[in-house]
Formats: sequence, structure tokens, C-alpha cells
Amino acid sequence: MSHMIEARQLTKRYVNERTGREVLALDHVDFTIAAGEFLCLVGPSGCGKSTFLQMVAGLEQVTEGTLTINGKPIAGPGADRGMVFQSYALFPWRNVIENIRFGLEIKGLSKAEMNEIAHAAAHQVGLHGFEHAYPKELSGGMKQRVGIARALANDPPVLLMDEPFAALDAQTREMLQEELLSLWQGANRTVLFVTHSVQEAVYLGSRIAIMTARPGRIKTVIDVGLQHPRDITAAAFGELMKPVYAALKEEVLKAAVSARALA
Amino acid sequence: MMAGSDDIRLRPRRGGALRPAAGSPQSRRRRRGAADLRARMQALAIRLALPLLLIALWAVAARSPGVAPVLPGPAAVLATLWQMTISGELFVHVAASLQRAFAGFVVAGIIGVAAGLAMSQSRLVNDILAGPVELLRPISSIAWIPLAILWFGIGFNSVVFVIVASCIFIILLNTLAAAQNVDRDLVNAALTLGATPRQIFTKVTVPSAMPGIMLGLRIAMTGAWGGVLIAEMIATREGLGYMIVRAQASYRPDIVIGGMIVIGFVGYALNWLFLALQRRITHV
Repeated sequence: MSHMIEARQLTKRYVNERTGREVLALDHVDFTIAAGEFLCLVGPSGCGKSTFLQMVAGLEQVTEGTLTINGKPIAGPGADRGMVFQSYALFPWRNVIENIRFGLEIKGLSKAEMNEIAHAAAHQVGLHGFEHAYPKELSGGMKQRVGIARALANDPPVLLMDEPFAALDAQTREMLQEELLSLWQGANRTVLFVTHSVQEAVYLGSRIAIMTARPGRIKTVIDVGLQHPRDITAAAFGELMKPVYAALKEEVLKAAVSARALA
Repeated sequence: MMAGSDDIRLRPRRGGALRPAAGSPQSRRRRRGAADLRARMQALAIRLALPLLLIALWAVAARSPGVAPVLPGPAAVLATLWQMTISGELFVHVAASLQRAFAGFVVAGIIGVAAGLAMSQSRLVNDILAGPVELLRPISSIAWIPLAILWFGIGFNSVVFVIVASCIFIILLNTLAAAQNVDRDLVNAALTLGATPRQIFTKVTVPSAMPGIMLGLRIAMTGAWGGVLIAEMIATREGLGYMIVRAQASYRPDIVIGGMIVIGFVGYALNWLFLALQRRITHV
């Protein structure tokens, strides 16, 4: 079962610890992520897209408005929303299988069940043969495979991804994008994917939401009508990138102007 | 407060950064050739050069006129150590010192780690303990000895008390710093995998702090080995500390020097053992 996420008049304010000033990160955001869709969230740096993702994860509190999942307000983090981090966030004292198993241990599964699921998840993301390696022995791409497998082992209806491929080289990124798509297509899972890259958003997303410079609002939402697998060299792909890129560029310039005004 | 998270080593780990993919079994096997052996012998020669030179200088100095009574040569010191080994006297002192150092270290380790973890988790505990810790910490281990003798008299308990006082704070503060500096993303990852606060503590905070805790324990172990000798010089009738002080009083520089050599080697062995144990149980 996939889940629907709804933000109504969602506002987030926090106090910058260094300056003591209040920052308005999200300003009355109205937005719905449909069940089973792959939604890419793009926006200039500091626009609040990661904050939004963290709020969906339950790691950040809602200041005003509502944020619900299948109609129920999000009160805190939970195993129904798996998360993949840009920094991988692997437990360095656990090997690959032990990392993947973490959520299953929390669920209190038997050792046999845990190992079966963890090995299947490792296999699914191409970690076969690396089950007993420690994170420090893995490349960035392999680390992120572990991150993805760890989230998927819990079989969450919602997968939250915070610029998961930003730190990877181009080839590895493309490979992981493709694998992620095949994992999503089979599973009827709602994916919220934050990225800086327009190309990545157009390649992966069923829809693309572009956020404004801070305070973050949803500027436009663009439907990507292309079938998977998408060809990034095709003319239609380029045509789709244009409006996304134009909208993003406008906001990046705005963000730069306001940054200069502050300085 | 932590003395850096890196190991304090006198020599780089074998191979170290020179070797690509150090630690992988393949790389280790590939390097095990004749060239590798020669490189190792060379490294060994470089490491032994200064100690051998010092021993040679010592031997020469001991032969110069007028010095002989206060500076017995290496051979004389070795002979004395050998005799004391055969008679079993050396063993009695070493065993006594090790026993006390170990007892004090274990007590300080349990209390220090527990208190450090508690302080990292609870604002209240932190506020209660932080002041006393900062007040007691600067009191050097030697300053605890008079109180220890008043309370426990001469003997085992006094020495253990002094060792605990001398090494508990470094354990506590390293534990606290390590448990406070857990990577926020690791905690968030655990939360999104469904972990409760209690599970975050046992499955993320404690293992994540382990390298810092181990570092504190290792520094404290060296401190315990130093502390036991200081305490034994005053508050006991056996142990290596007592042995060298008595030898000084009875004018036996050979025993004093021999005792110091044993102290150095035992300290070295303890550190080596600790590192070997640490490598076995942590993978970070």
C-alpha cells in the first residue's frame, strides 16, 4: 500500500542559533504528493526543500499548518517513512548486512527472518559479495547502495531521499538512478526525492515541484509525461528540462540577490 | 577535552597510508615479497638505532672513572634483574603493582564510563556532576595520597583509591565528549528506521562513542600505571614503586635502573595489549 502526503498551509520557522534571528524556512506551503508517485523536489540552496523532507520524516516539528500522511498528522519519525541521506549515514561499527538489518532489529524480527530479508535487500541493490564489508571499505556508490537497502529492508510505503546521489561521480550516479527507478517501479512506493539537479529530476520524477528562494513556497509543479526508461539525449527530454531549468534559475538568482542584500 | 580521536602512536601503522586499500587481504599478500622483507628490516634497523646507541653510550659512561658507583653498566643491571627474576622477588613486585593498577583501572573505568554516559543523556545529571568534576580534576594523584593513607592506611586499598582518583576524570570526560558528539545523521537514520530513544542510546550512542571511550581508557591505563608507582612509593611495602624507593635508600642504583626499565616495558606491553584488544572488538 502506498501513501499520500499532504501539506496544508505548512509553515516552518526556526531560530538561527548563531545569529539568534528567526528564519522563515517554509511559508504556507500547500502541496499534495500522490500515493505511488515519484516526486522530485528542486529549488535553490537554502530554500527549505530539505527542511520539508525532514518534516515529512518527522525529524523536524511543524510550526504552523498541517502535514499529514494518509490523513493522519505526522507526529514524529517512524518506520513507515524510510530515509536515504546524502552523507549515507551508515553505522561505521556495523558491516553491510548489520547495517541493512538495523530496522529489522528494531522491529524485533527473528534472526533467521532478519538475515533472509537483509540478504535479499543486499542482493537487490547489487551488494552481493560485500555483505561482510565495513562502510570504510566501500566506495561512495556502494555506501549509498547500503543506505538504500537499509531503508528498503523495512519495506516503508514512503521513501524520502535527501540529495542521495549528490556526492557521487557521474557514472555511479546514473547507474544508481536507473536501479532506483527499477526498485520504485516494482513496489508501488511513494518517493520524495530532493535534488539540485534538473536533469536528475526530469530523469527520475513523475512530477517535479520547484520551490522558491527562501521563504520556501511551491513555485510550480511540472508533470513529466515521459515513459521510463527515459533517454536524456532525446529532444523531448531536453524540451522538458527547459521550463524546469528556467523556473529554477529565476529562483537561484533571487536567492543570490537577497544573499547580497543581507551581506 | 579529548586528546584527538586519532591513535597516539609512536610509529605509523605498518604500511599506513603508503599502501592502497590498506587492510584488504589481497594488498597484504601482494606486498609480501623480497622487497617487502628488505623494507621491513630497514624500518626495524631505523627503529632500533637510537635505543642501541643510548645503550652503547650508557655502557661507555659507566666505565668512566668516578661514575661507576652511581651508574652501573647495562650488563650489571641485567645481571641484577636476572637474579631478582630467579629469586622470584621481581615477580612479587610486578604482580603487586599490576594487580593494584588493574583494580583501580577497572573501578575508574566502570564509574567513569557510566557517569560520562549519564551526563551525556541527562541535563540534570550533567548539571549536578559537572562542577564537582571540574573542581576535583585538577588535584594531582599525588595530592590524594595523604587522604588515602588517613582513610585506608598503608596497603592495597590506599593505592587503588589513588589510582581511581588519578584516572577516573580522563575516562569520564572522554566518554562524555564522545557521547555528546554522535553524528546527528546517524541518530536521524536510526529514528527513521523506527528506533526509540532507548534504542538510540544502546544501538547508536554507545557504539558510536566507543572509539572515544576506548581512547580515554587507554590514556587512563597509562595514568593508572603511573599512579600505582607513585602511590607505592609512599603507601605500601611491596610493588615496583616501593622496590625502587627502597633500592634508593639502600644505595642500589642497579635495582633503581633495572626497576625503571621493567616499569617502561610493562607500560609498553599494557598499551600494546590494549590496542590489540581494541582492534579485535571495534571496527572503526
